[in-house]
Amino acid sequence: MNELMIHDKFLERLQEGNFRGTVHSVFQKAINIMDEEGILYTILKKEMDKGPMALHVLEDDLSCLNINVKDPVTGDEHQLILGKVSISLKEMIPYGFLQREYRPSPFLASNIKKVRLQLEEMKDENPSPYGREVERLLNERLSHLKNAFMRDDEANILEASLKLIGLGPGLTPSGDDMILGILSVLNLKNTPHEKYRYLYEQVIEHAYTQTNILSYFGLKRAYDGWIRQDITDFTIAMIEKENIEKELEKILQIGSSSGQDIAYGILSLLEASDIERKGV
Amino acid sequence: MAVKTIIRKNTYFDSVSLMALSTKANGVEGVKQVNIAMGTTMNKDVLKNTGLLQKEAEDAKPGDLMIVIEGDEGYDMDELLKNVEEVMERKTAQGEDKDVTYSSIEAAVKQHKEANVAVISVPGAYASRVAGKALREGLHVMMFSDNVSLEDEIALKKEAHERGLLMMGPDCGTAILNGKGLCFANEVRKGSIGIVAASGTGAQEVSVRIHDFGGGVSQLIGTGGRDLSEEVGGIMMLDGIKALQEDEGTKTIILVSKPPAKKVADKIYEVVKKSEKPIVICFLGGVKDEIEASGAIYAKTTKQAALQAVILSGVPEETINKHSLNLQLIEEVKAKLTPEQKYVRGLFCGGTICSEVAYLVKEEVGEIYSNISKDPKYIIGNLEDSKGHTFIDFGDDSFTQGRPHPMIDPSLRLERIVKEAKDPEVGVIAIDMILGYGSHMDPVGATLPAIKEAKKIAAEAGRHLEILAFVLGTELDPQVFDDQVERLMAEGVTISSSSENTGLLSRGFISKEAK
Repeated sequence: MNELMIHDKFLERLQEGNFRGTVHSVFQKAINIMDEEGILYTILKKEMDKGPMALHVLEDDLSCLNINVKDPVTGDEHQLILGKVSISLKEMIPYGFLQREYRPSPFLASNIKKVRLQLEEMKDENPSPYGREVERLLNERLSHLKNAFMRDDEANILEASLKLIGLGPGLTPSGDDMILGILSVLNLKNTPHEKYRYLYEQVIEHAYTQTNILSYFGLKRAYDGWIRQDITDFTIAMIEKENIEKELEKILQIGSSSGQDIAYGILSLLEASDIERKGV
Repeated sequence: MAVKTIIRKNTYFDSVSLMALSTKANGVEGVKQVNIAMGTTMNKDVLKNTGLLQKEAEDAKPGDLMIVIEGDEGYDMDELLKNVEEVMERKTAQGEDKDVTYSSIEAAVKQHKEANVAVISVPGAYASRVAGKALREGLHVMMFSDNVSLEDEIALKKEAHERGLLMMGPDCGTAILNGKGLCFANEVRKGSIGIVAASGTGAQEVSVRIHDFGGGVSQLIGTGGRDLSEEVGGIMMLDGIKALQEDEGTKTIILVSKPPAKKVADKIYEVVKKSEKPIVICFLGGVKDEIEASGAIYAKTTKQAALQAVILSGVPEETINKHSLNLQLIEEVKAKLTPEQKYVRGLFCGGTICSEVAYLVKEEVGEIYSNISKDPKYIIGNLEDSKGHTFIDFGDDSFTQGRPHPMIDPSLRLERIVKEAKDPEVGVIAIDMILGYGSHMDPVGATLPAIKEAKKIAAEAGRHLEILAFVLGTELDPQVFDDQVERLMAEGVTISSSSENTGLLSRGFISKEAK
């Protein structure tokens, strides 16, 4: 297989040696590995943006690689072997996730408005009664969360966040994606609500039993400061850039509706921060 | 409510696959709704609150996939469950799936190297970027999207021209390439007549008339509505003509548009002069002498264009049913209308159909008010209220912001049909019903209640109301042409056979003898 880059933390783990695990899940764009300690790692297609604990390869369709769920995985500083497929770690380029800073620009308010309108237009117009109820709950709980941030209401920030975990459709439930979006903003240095970030340690702990393992690790990694590049790029673009078309397009391409849900989370916390900043 | 639940333990599908599975499962006959979600506490709570939680789902874990099936009345749930599982097995087992969703043009091209056309229908703000990507991947582009800037259209068409690719659109609704209809298109016979059109329903009408007259279509290339403006310069029209000149299957060419900008018309005529294949030009309202001076054959209407081309293509003229005007019918209808009933109201889904019918009516009756009038004096100010002879294009942007085109959803026009019927000065309501791929599956069914209501209103007021319907389609279209026509006739609607005849009949019905 042809390789490209790797999250520096994943490389460190492999360099420690004696890496063992099994293939957890196989998708077109990603293969997940669970090691013997229950930690998740991911192989990604080259075109994917930088992800936490991920290794990028050049292959087009990972689901065609003859790698199957439950295949044994071993690895060291030289290579990673999944079933019968070997990945060389030579000439791998490591990357990290730097903490970005919250520096609001005059474009923030107009970006919020623009994106809010666009997301509303993308909503499913005829969901089933079940779908409508899910949507209602998601909207209600995200709205409570946003209001809790605006009121500096710690107890309700925690409660509303807990109530979003595991709620909604998708491999990563919509509520989880919204929390991911919230974390994307909270991770920024000097972000207005930075002081509430610590509450999310409890939310992550709660997520371990309340959502599936893939979504849990997404949230945990986000709390650790490691979020997909496209999500961080969009968050920063919302805050700083005048033209955010490119970043918006990329985030909306995540999953089926995950990108939209993540964007809703980002939007809600940025709205809360922006309203407070204006003293409204 | 009949419900069955399938649990797939420890099953992970990515979200795009889940969406595709859900769509497939919802398409199974007898399924009212399939809800798919991971077995988290929150999702189970929602199932409980909506009366859908069963024991299997109660026991599901967060890593399990819950598939909850609601069945329609009268269906065996065990059978339904089996059918849904089958569909899902088929979906997951398939290596190649026609319904696979890709997140980008580049990803789709990588998986489908044989594809050479991209059809783009995303909000206008994003359409240009996506079209540019498609062109750079070597794809021809058909852009259904509108609300694209003129600057972007020009840039895309120039890029396409340099790459030797077609850039059909923006706002291009109709194409037929190598026998395959794209977006709105009718099922027509394959033949040797190629069409380049800056007009969606105009192109449809020409292709359908060709079929009706016994001819066939080789290619139908759309250019988008602004192509023949001075700014765009007819780039796609000219490239389309070139493509048809080079296409071995095309022996005769038709150009359809509203009149181009003068400079653009001159460029087109220059190309036409050098054409080795005969070219028929229908520029609605265009100047006959100029067109004939270029060596092209002049056609005043889309019907005439089709007829000329079909004859040129070798179909014996004596075998063609030209659907001559029924003069007796005109006299009969005129006799039924009161002197007070002096106006035609044209309510159309197709823009070019509206323009062509209005143009023909205007020739006879004088001025027409419309939302698409070129003369500012006759642009209808208030879209809700008609004035004199009024022709409304319900497919115009003013009606379609945030809602489907009336060819997909005819409901927007229904209220207006009833409203016009209440006006004692209205003698004729002319409408179109557009069949074909992409269109509503039963436009007549959707419109009949309004027609019945309109007829009833007029009858109760003691007057005849002439409703004239033009059904644009062929016997090969999915909507069953004959059935659409028969149901209209059963309600006393007069059927016209073409856009041209709709105009001629409308003006005939409403004309009053000089006293």
